[in-house]
Amino acid sequence: MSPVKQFTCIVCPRGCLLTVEITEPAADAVSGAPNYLDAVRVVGAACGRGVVYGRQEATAPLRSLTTTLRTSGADRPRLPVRSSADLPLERLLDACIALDTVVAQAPLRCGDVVMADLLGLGIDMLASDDLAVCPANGASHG
Amino acid sequence: MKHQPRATNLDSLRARIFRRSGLAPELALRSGSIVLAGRAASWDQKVAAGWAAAAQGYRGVVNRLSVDGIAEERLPPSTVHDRSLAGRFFDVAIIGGGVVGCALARELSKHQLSVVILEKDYDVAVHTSSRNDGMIHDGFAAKPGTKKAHYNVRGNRLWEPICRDLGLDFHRPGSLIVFRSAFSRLVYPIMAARARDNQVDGWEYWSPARVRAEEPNICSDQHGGFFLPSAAVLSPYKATVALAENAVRNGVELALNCCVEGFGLEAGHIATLRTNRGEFRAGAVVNAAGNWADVVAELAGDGFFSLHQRRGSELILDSNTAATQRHILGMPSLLQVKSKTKGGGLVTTVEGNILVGPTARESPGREDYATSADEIHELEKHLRINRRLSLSQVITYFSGVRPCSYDEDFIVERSVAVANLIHAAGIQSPGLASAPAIAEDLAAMALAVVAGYKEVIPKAGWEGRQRGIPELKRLPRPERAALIAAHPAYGRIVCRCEEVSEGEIRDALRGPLPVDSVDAVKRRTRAGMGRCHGGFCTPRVMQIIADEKQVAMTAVTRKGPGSELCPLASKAGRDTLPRQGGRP
Amino acid sequence: MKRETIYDVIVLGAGPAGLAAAVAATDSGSSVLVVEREERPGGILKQCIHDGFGLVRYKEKLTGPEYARRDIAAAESRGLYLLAETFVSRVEKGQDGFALTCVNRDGLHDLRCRSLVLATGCRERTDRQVFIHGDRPAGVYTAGLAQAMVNLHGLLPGRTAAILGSGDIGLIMARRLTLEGVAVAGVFEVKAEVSGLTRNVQQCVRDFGIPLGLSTTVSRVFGRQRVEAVELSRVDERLRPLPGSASLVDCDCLILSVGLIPENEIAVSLGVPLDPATRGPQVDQNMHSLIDGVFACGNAVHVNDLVDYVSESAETAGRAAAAWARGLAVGQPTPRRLQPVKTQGPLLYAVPQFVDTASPVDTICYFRSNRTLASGARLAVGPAAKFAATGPATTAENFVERKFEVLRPPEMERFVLPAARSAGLTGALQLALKPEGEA
Repeated sequence: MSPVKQFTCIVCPRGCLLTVEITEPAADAVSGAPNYLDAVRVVGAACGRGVVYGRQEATAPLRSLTTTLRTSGADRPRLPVRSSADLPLERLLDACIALDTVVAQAPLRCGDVVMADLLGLGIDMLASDDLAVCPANGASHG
Repeated sequence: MKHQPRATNLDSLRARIFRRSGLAPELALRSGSIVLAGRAASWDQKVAAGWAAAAQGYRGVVNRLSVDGIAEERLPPSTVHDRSLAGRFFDVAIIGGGVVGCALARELSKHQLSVVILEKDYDVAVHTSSRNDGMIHDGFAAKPGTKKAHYNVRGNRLWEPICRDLGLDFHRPGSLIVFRSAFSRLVYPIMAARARDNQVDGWEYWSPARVRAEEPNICSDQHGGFFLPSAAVLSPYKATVALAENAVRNGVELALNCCVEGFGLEAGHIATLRTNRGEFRAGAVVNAAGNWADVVAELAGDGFFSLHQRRGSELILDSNTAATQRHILGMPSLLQVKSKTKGGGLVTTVEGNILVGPTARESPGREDYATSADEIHELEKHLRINRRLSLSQVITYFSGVRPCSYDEDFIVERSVAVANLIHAAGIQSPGLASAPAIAEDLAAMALAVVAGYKEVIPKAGWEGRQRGIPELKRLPRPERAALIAAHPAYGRIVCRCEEVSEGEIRDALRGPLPVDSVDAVKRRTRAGMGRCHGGFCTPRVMQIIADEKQVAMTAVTRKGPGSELCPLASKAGRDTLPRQGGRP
Repeated sequence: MKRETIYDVIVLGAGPAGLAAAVAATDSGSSVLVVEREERPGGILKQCIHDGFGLVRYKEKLTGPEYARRDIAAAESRGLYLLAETFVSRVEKGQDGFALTCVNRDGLHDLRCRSLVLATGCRERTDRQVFIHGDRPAGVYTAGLAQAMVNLHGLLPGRTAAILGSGDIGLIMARRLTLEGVAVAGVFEVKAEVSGLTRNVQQCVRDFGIPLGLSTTVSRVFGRQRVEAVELSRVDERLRPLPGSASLVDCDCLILSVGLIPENEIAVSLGVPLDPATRGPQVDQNMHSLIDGVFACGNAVHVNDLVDYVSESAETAGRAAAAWARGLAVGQPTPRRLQPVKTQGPLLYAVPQFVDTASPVDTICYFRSNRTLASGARLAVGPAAKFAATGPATTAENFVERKFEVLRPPEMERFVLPAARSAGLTGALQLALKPEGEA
């Protein structure tokens, strides 16, 4: 892991350029456990929220995952889905691959779990829209 | 007089070519044509040499000059291979589904003949026949005595009844050529003389006051105008499609995605045509192959002319702009009388848009429709004629390629070398206007060939009238309501910009021509032609095509095989692709 | 359908703007009908499957469909009448309201209303409108069209994509295509800075190591049937391609995110004056256009950065449309006294363009700077909009004063002008923006 990272803060439109230094954690004076909190130093943030963001982003960036699933018996071919919590950034593509084989069976309500415990991360994939059952094939003219 | 060489001495011709192009090519005579060989420094030099050799009394100019970096063009390879035409016989095989080929097919369908149109692309009117401004010229611009002048004036008269029969819009707003300087007004007598020589249907001089009264939005710096009331407009692709549809309804076959690859020649005539859809026999063969007509002639062993390509670009202005002027507006250039194309201007279309253009540039590339920024820039000057126009009204632009012989006249004649071959080549501007008249003569030539082996009799029950796809937004309300009541799909609007219904799109796909692409639907219905350019309706149109043709969405094309819009389904993409890294 | 009914309010469009306007109008006691072209309500949110919507309105991070679902639920709970798959062919203004001609599978319908709310959203600029030259093969799509293909239909536009334009949809499509296994060759932007939100630059482009090329444009497209390559060119300060800077990128599709334009064909057909800067109708703080009874909201008025503000403007429009209809129903149209809003300084635009001093409704003003003001700026709003010579000094004549840490054109700003303050205006309302550290 590189000891210094630079990136733009996305907490507000100001867009501070954050520099995050990661040092070897020192032992806590009281408990003797490594003090990770002080080992990550965020410079350049204009506010406290930026410091929190910078620390998380530099050590273990997390991202939500939104994608679509194939459907079965539904009135449309794809169902939008979202993760119930943020995933480690580096697992996003693996998660998509895992979801390739999942089929959403209509009917579903927005918020229903369509895949539990994605990649063993303890995160579920939820329907992010209602999915209605396909009505009888719509008439076409002629 | 043609076929009587004036320049009997090739050396003097070479000198003439050198004076005009800076090049002294090798010259040879071949069956009445002059053949240029050697190397040219540039494309422009090659064309200049060809022009210099033209009109010297030879039958044609065959320009074999090579230009470094520009390869000889070959017909694009066929993407479809089957034997659907193998072993068959047609009285007439028409090569090329452009406006000339389709007008000819309809002419021939009046007789008891078997006729096939071979079109190498996914639809008719894909190339020059749709890539123009739809103007039916008055006929004054052509040089008197040329085939252009003759066919243009006659074609101008023929189009109106054809459009009436085929249910096509035809407007005759007339063309007003505006003099932009007192000096340019001096060309009026020359223009009038030419209009008289060509037997154009009417012309007038308009004073500056008259011009202002007729065209309130005209630019202030005008010095009167030359008005030609017979100039008209139609939708060129709809007209070509309608001609083809009417021909097919009357028994003509249309083979799309079908390209001629060679001919079986026997004793001075074409015995068979080899295509990607099989080899078959024909009584008469008509070469209406547009920008490839010289290549087709060469394949038949009758390469007595070469074509060069003159590209033209046009701007399309928003659909409410045509209301700002009453006539087609043009500017003369002093060169116009001599120039190889008309001056261009502002053409009001039947749909209510204005087309601005065209430009005229010699360039290689028989199907090179790339536009360039400087051509678009060049067209901006035309906007100034109408004070209500500005560049912000441009919704799109396109280019077309005119197939030109070096004589700059049409070639409409029976082959000298091949007994049953007929050429319609070099049909550049005003080819659209001339097409019905050319088709009349081509039909007579083809019938003469067929008459050599069988009696030609009129077809009983020929029906020249037809209604096109109903344009619901333009129908009177009760008619529209009745159609929707009968077919609810006519009430489901798919293209919001042009107000095109699902029913109209299904009609286009169920028409007599076997088309299945998004562009073919667009040409027939205008779906996707509006201000959003298909941004909203493309997936819906794809769904309707997939449903009508019973194919997967991934198989739906924009313009024939190889142009699939979304070639992969979601998961298939990942299955076949190299993985991308997750993090930098 | 009740043919003879006169609705108080007809709303055109059932996207987030239309639904919020319809709900607000219903809650104000109006009879309301929503006309929608598509099968399902939700508008463009249906295909915006990513999250980040609703942070302002719901203090939650919702996906597009989830955000729409809340509006749909609100509409359903009120029994709102939605006429789906229906196209408005024509609108005419009469003495006491509007007559609409609509088309759907059941035929042609005449509808009447007292107030009309235009919630028709926006459309995308196309490759022709930004003058990209070259061949015209399949594989060139606007970002929204590509988004619909991928998210609604499960289709991929190609195997390798180049993206022109760094608007938010373009950035979001870079991530979306990457997650779908499409290689993204790069995101290219003709301007010297990114058009989209910083968050999206990080999470949609940098996260995946996608090249981002600024001051770069696509100058040509190559390919006969499908896109085979695009030509990139660096541009000069006037955004023109620099000769000799061209390079080729192999790709089989080109995605364009080059701007959005409010859809206003119906507004234009009614003679509603547009603002050339926003390309949407000019409105007052009630989202009331200069044609009495015609209201507009959401992206039909100006392209918003967040849907939350679309909903906010729509609620305003819905309430005001209901109030206008009430006035007409009793034969007493609400009087309006419009004063123009004039902008000074580096402002791209401000909405509303007018303040109705007769209205008791506070003015929510949305504006954008026309360039990045990295050192921040001060805003003064009032009859004269005066700035004190130095420091944070205030002048008593200003109605509103605000200080901004940073202003960027992609990010819209907002302030509220209380009706009590604007009521006394006798001339134009000045809205002045002064960058910090500039004379």
